[in-house]
Amino acid sequence: MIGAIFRGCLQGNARATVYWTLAISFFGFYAVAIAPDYEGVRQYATLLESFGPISTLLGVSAEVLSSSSGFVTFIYLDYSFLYYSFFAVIAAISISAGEEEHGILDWQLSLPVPRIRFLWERTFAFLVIFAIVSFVSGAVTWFSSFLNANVSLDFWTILSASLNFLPTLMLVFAVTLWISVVVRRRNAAIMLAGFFVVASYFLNGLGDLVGGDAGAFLRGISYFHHYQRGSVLIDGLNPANMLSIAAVAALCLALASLAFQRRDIGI
Amino acid sequence: MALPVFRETLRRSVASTIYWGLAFAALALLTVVMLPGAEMLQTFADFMASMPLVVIRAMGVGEDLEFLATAEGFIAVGFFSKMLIFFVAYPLVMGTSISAGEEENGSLEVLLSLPLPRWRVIVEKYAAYLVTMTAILLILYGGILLGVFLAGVALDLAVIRAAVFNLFPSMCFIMGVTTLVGAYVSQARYVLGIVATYIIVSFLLDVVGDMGIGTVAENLSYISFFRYGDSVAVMQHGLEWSSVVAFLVAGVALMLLSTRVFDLRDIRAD
Amino acid sequence: MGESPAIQTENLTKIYAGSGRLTHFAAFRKIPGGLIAPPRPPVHALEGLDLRVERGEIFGFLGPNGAGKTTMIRLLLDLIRPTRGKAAVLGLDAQRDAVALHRRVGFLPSELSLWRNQRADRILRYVASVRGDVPTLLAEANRLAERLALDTTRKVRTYSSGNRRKLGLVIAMMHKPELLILDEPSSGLDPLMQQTFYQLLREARAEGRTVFLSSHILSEVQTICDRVGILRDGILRAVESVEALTHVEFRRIRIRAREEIPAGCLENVAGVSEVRLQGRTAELQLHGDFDPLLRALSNFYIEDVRQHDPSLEEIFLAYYGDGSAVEQ
Repeated sequence: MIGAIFRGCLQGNARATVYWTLAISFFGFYAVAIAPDYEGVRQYATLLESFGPISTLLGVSAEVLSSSSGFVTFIYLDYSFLYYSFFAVIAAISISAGEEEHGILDWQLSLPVPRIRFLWERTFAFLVIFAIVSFVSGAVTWFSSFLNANVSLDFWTILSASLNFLPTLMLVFAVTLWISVVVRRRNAAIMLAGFFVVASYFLNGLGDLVGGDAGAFLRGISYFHHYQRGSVLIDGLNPANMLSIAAVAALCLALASLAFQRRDIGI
Repeated sequence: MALPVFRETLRRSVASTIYWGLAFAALALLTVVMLPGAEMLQTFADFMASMPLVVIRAMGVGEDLEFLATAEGFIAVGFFSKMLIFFVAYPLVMGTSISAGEEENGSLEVLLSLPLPRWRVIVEKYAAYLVTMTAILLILYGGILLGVFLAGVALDLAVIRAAVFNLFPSMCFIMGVTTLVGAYVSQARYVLGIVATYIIVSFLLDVVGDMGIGTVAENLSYISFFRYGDSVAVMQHGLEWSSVVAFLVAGVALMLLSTRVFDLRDIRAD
Repeated sequence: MGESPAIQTENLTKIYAGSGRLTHFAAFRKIPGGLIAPPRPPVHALEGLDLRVERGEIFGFLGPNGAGKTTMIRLLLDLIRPTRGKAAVLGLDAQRDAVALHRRVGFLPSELSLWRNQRADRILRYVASVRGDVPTLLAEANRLAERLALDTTRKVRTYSSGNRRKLGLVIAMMHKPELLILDEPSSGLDPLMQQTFYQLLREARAEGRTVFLSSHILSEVQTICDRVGILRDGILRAVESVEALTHVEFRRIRIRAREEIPAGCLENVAGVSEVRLQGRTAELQLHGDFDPLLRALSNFYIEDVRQHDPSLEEIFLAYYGDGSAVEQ
């Protein structure tokens, strides 16, 4: 029955969804609840702008940083996205490499379901799970802002930020899926995908510090840069950027599907 | 034959030790190779000096901004500060495999049917991972040396060595925590989840505490273990031996406690 | 003082705790339409088990899935701890002297999991190094591997389940243990290898060693075991020699008459039960003497009467079917 794998995946990951929602929500809550009075920081906004390109070394623009919501950006959207990335890695690993190593994949693929559907229904289920975690955590972050008089968060901005998570998360998911389908061994896939996340995070940070063309190059090869966490709070969603990332994710998913379709299972 | 579990764990860890070491070393090497010139570093330090304290701390640097104008300062911020949370991922993964990982996949059942007291499984594996951790840090240091050689930069290697060595006690501590949780909880994914949460919350408390000057957040940050293993501070002011000893003692004590916990419970009784 | 038995248990009891709050939470997804699961009661896996296994015998432990066989074995090996009672193995306390005991015991778990990415010969070397005398143990391991036609140069993950089982047997037997504890040992072995395996067990017995194996393959137990213990719902129902168990008071009878045997003809005949009529043929179970049956059929021309003693399988079913045999 169409949708059975999708529903099974949602049910099977219900507990993980709750845990991740709690963890990311805690991030948002903590970032908002302890955000200090930013009056002092605001005075530096003009100064920061005058430094030109170097002002990007913090990874967020001066405009963002000098607002109360900038603090939330720095903590919630930056660090929580790092942990979201690991969630995407764990999720993608569980689809093929994890189940293959545990011998579960053999009998699952003996069911009258094409391999591609098995992969895609689960991918779609995880997209829904990411959306649930992201929107609920965003809502908790927004509600938390009522607890701190120094912070004023716009609901639609937070909603946009939550939506902005999804294409990049799916990119990490699809890359990991591709890796896990190709290398097959769970531990090796975790190691490679983990390195992909850590190296991207690191290169983005290093690019900020180095600055100039070299820095721009380092940032350019990191998905953390293209995720544009800061600008979404100021300029709103960038549909073109989101679609580009989604297209790359779709390409990786297609490659993963092709590799999964062609290869032996459980040998 | 003496210490069979220790030797076998070492043997099986050779490949993963090299991979982890090379991954860290590659990132360290890149940091050194990308090191900006002295003029750029000074501009960077001047810029930071103009920032409010909260922003300076957000960068993960101390208040000695002249340090930022040095190559060591750049490496402190660009590598050690940024990568801090990933260094403890290694003891988390390996600590999980000490008992919970093997219990979950069933191989512990065979191991414990051999004439081997349970405590020895924990102690020998823990000791083996201390050796592999040392090897990883040596490879990491090698990456920095290679970067120095390739980029031709002058670095105070004594400061770098202190920063690299400073990673060891906190890794030892996290492995102790993971071993204890693993001895109590038999499922690897729960061990990973619990300890990862502990690490992430510690990290968050530390990062936010740095920025929340004079607030509850700053006070809360003192319960984060990252507060006491700060390589950036070590590079500025030298090793804090009390923290080093405290982490090492705590790590070993937690491991010894885990032998007791492990000895008292049923194996794979679910 | 005589030699201590290979295994002796007294009032051995294992009760697994029921679910707590956390388990409720963990179980919520299994409950349709809600998040709250009812509390799970404690599980009495083993209840007051008194058992004595003598040295030099092959003892079969029979029982359906969930009867408590594996729990019993795990208690003997100190992998889990008893709620009540105690177990002594080779004269040693199973819990206090676990390490000394493990030196003299070989174990094959029912669900054997080994390090998948390791080569079998590396695993054998590791086990040998934990046990001590590496060259001797490896020599014996190689001999066993050869007899079981096991290629030890391959990684475990490339093995079939049967080959993994063989590796488990080699690990269990390579140090020539005084007591072999085997949990469902022959599952996954092909018939030829099963014969080799049985031969290995007989050789162990001939050398005065003891084998304690759990199984639900009755023909296997009947073939190689000296005595059998039957376990159900955590309670030891019977311990008998295989010979005594198969020498029971009922027989299976098959009768063929020249004309059709009418329904009801064999009702209320003393000692006759489980009658199946098919035209001129009747199959039945007979307790006691033949005389009442022969009198009931005196009006028929009987062409053929065949009798066979019940197999262990039929006895087993009698024990488990409705428990009537147990009550008797």
